[in-house]
Amino acid sequence: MEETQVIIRTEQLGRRYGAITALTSLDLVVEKGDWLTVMGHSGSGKSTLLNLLGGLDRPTEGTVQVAGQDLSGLSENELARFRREQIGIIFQQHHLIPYLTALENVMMAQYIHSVVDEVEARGALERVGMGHRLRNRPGELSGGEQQRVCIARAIINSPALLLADEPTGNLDGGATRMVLELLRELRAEEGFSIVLVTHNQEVAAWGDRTIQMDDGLVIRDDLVGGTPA
Amino acid sequence: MILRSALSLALLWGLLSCCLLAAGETGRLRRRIVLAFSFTAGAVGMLPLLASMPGDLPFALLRMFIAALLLAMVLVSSAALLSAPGRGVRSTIWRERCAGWGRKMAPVLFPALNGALATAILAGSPSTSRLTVVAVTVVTAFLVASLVDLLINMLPYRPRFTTLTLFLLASSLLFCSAAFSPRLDLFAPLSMKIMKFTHDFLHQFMESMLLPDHLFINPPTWNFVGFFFSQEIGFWGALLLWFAPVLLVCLVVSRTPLPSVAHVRQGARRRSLIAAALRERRGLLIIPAVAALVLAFSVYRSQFPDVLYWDPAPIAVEATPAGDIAIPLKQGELDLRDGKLHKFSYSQGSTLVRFFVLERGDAVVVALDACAICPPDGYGQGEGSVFCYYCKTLIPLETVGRPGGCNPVPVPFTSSDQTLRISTLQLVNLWNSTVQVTTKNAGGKR
Amino acid sequence: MKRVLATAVSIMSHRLLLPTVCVLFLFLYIAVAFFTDEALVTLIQLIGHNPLALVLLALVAMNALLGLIADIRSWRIAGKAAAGLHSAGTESNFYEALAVSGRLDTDETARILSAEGYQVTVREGFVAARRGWSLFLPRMLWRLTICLLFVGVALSLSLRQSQRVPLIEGEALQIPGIPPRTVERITLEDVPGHWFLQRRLAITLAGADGQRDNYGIYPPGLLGPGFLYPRYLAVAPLLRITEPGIGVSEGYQLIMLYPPGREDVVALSGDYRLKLVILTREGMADPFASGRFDLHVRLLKGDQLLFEGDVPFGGRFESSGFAVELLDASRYVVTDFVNDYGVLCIWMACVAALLAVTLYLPLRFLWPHRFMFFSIDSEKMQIVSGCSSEGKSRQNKALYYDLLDKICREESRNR
Repeated sequence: MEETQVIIRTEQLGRRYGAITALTSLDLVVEKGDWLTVMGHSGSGKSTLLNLLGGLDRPTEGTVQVAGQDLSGLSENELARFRREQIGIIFQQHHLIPYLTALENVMMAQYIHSVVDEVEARGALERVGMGHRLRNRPGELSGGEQQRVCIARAIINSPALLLADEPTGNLDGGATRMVLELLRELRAEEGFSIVLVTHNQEVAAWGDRTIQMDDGLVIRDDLVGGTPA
Repeated sequence: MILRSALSLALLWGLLSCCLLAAGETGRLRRRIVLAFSFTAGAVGMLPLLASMPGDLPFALLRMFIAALLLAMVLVSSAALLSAPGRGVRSTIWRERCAGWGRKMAPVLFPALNGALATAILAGSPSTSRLTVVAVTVVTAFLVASLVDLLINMLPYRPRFTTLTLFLLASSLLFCSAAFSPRLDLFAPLSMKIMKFTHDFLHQFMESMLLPDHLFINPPTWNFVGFFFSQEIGFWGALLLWFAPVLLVCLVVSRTPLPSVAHVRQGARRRSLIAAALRERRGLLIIPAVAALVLAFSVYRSQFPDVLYWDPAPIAVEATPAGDIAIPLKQGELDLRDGKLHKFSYSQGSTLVRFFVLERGDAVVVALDACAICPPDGYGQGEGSVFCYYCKTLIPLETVGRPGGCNPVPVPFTSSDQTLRISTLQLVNLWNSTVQVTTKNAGGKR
Repeated sequence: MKRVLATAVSIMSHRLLLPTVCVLFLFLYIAVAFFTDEALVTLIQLIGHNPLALVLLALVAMNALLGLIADIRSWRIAGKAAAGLHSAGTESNFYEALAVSGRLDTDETARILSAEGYQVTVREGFVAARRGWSLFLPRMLWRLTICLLFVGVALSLSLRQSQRVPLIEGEALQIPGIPPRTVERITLEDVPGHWFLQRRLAITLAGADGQRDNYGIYPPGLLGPGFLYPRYLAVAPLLRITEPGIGVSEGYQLIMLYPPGREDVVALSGDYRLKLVILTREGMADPFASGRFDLHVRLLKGDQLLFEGDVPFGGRFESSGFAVELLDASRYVVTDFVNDYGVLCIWMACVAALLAVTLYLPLRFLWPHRFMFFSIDSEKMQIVSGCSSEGKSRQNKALYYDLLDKICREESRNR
C-alpha cells in the first residue's frame, strides 16, 4: 500500500508500566479516511493505544507512525507540535473550560494551535449545529450539545486523525445517534480518519473496521464495510 | 576605576563583536580577521590624534562621529519605515541595496570606532603610557571577545539579525561605551542642545503666532506649557531622540506585512502560516529590546558618571566698606593660580552668592558657580574641564570665562597688587538675575 | 518638454518630498549650530532671505496639494469599484486579491455579509460590502495641514514686518500708513475661570471720526493691515525732575518698571542717573490696574550712590538740590504692530491638524473602513475577489477567507 494513503502504521508496538504490560506487539495499519473502532473491556489497552497514537505517551517497544511521522523520533517540542497540528481529541468527559463560552472554547483551541479566528470558529460551531448557542457556557448546554462543541473544538485545527475516547458514553440514544451522524458527515467533508474507543456494539457499527482488544493484544479485527489492511 | 572602565568596555566590545560575527555572511575566520584588524586600526589610529591635537579636540572629533552615527540611525530607521515593504518595486530594490552596503560596512566601521573609543577612554590622559595601554587594550579586547563569543554560543537562542537591527544594536553598544567618559558621552550634551532648541523654538513660535506672554495666561495652562520651557524638557527630549531608532525599528518590524493566505483553502493552515509570520516578527523584536536595555544603561552612566570631581567647599568672604570683595591671589596655603577651582561665597541679606576663581593657563577668571540655563547646582573640576552638576555638561577650561550656553556666568573683576577686586553690587545683581531666570524659568518647575 | 514636465510633476508629487525637505533643513540647522549659539534664529533669518529655501517650502505645499488631488482620485476609483462600476482589475488597491474557480451565490454571500454588519451592494454576478468610515477625510485634512503650514511658514519668514510701538493711554497713536488714532483707554482685569487666560487686557482706540475699536490680548485684533500684538505692560510715571544748576524737566518716562520689582534708569545730565523702582507694599493694588504707585529713587553718579528715598504718588522727594516729583502716571502697552498673513495660514493649519487627529483616532480604531468584493468573471469562468481595510483587518480578512472557502466548497459539492 502506498505510504501516502496510510494514516497509522504501528510495528511491534508495546507499552509497559513497570511490571504491567498494557500493550503488546501491535502491528496495525489504518488507511487515510478510515473509521477504526477499538473495543474491549476496561484495562484491555484501548486507552493506552489511543494515547500512543495521539502522542500523549511514548512506546516502550516498537514504532508508531501517524500521518507519515515516526512519533518515537520526535522531541517533546516536536511532539507537542504534532499533537497541535495533526490530532483532534474528543473525550467522554467533555473537558470544556467551564467559564468560557462555546465560541471561546473553540477559539482557545485555535489559540493553542496558532492564532484565533472568530469567523472560522463560529463557522465550525455552525457546522456542528451549535450556531445558536455560541455565547452559552458549557454548564448551560445539554450533554449532546457539549459533545458537539467538543467535536467543533477537535476539528477546528483540521487534524489528520480524530481520536474519540467513549464520545457517546454519557449520552442517551438520540444524542448518541446525532453525534455519530455528525462525525460521519464531517469525516466525509474534511477527510480525516477516526479512531473511536467504545464499549457499545451499536456505536461500533458506525465504523468501517473494528478491532477487539484484550490484555494488550488484538484478539479480533473485523471489517464493517471497508477493507482491513 | 580605570580597571572597571576597561572591563566594562571589553565586555561591550565582546558583545559587539559577537553581534557582528553572528550577523555576517562571509566565513567565520575571515570575519574574525576583519573585526580584529578594524579594531586594532581604530585603537592605534587614535594615538597620533591624541598626540598631535591639543586638549579636547580629539575627543570632540570622536564625539562628532558618534553624534553623526546617532543621526544616521534616526534617519536610516525613519527611511526604513517610510520604505516599508509593499511600497513598490523601486523602494524594495533600494532597501536591499542599502542593506547590502550596511552589511559590508558594519564589520569595519563599528570595530574601528570601538577601538578608537577604547583608546580615547583608557589612554586619554597624557599621564599614562599610551602605547602600553593600547597594546593591553587590544589584547584584552580579543580575549574578552572570544570569551563572550563562547558564552553566547552556549545560549539556546540564536539571535536573528537584519541589517537594520544589527546597526541598531551595534551603535547602541558604541553609545554605551562612549558614556563611560564624560568627555565622549553624547547624552548630556544632546539634552542641552534639545533644551536650547525647544526653548528657542517655543519662543519663536509664540512670537510668530502672536501668542500672549505668560503674564496673561492662567497658572494651570502655564504649568502645562511651562514644562516645555523647563530644564526637564532637555532630558525627556533627549530620551525620546535616544530611543527613537529603537522605536522606529520596532515599528518597521511590526509593520512588516503578513503573508497573503487568501489562496489557502484550509483555515488551520492559514492560521499556521499567519502564526509563523507573527512568531518571526516577534523574534526580530528581541534585538531592538536588547538595544533598548543597552541604551537605558548608557543613559544611566551619563546621568551618574563614575568620575570624581574636585569640588572644594566655598570660602566665605566679606565686602570692604566701599562695597568690594578683595581676594589676594596668594595668601598662606591658598594659591589662586594653582590651576584648581577655588570656590567662594558671599552673603547679602537673604542672598548667598557662590562664585569661583580659576587660573585657566593664560589668565585668571572669576565666574558664578552657576550658568545662565540650569538651576545653580554648581560646577566641579575634572581633567581639562569644569563639569555642570545639573546638566552633566563638560565645559572645556579654554572656554571658562566666556558667556553663553552652560558656561559659568563670568563676573567682571579688576586685578591689582596681586589682589582680585569684585564689585558686590555687580556680583549680587548678576547672581540674582541669573538665578531668578534659571530657577523660575517661566514654568516654575524647579 | 512633456517629459520634463512629467518628471517635475512626479518629483513634486513624490511622497518622500516632505521628509527630504525636513532632513535638508535639519542638516542646515546642524551646520548653523556649529557656528553660532543662536542656531534657530540664524536659520530662520537664512530661510527668510533665501529664495531657494522659500521655493523648497513652497514645493512641499505643492506636494501636499498634489497628494490631495491624488487622494481624491483614488477615493473616487474606490467608490466606483465598490459600486461594481469599475473593473475589479485594480489589484494594488487591495490588501489581498484572488481569482478562484467556484460558484458565487450572490444572495447568500450578501446575507452573510449583512449579518456581519456590512453594507452590501448586489448586482448581477457582483457583491461588494463595506463597513465603517474611510480615513479619507482626516487624510485630506492632514494634507491640508501640511499645505497651509508650509505656505504659512514661507509667508511668515519672508514677508513678516514688525514694528514696536508704545500705546500710551491718552496719547495719539501714529503708525505710518494708518489714519491716526487715540489710545482712549487701557484696562487690565482678572478673569477667573477663563480657559487659558488669567487676565484680560482691553485697549480702546478712537479714530478721528469717533469710531472706537477694542483690542484684547488674544486673538490679536487687526488694525489696518496688521495685528496689534501686546508684548509688555508698563507704567509711565510723569516726573518733574529738578537738577541743581540745570533746571526743571517734566515728562512721561517710557521706562519698564512693571511688574513691580523691576528697576529702570532715567539718564540725567552729565554722569548722573536716576534709578527707579516701584515700591511694593503688602495688599497693594496692581499698579497697572490702578494706575497709582509710589516710587523708590536712587541717584547715582557713575557707580556711586549719592542718595536714595521714596516718592509717594503725587508727592516729592528732595535731597542736596535734586528733586523728584511723581505727578501722575499713565498705563502703556509695548505693542508689536505685525504685518504677517502667514500667521493666518498657520492658525488654520493648527485647526486642520486638530480636526484631522480628532477624526483619525476614532475612525482608525473604532470604525475603520473595511471592504471586500466578489465578482464573476464570465470570460475566465472565475470569481474575482479582493479585500482591503484601514483597521481591524484581521476580522475583515477572516470573513473574506471564510467566504472564499464557501465559494470553493460550493464548487466541489457541485462536482
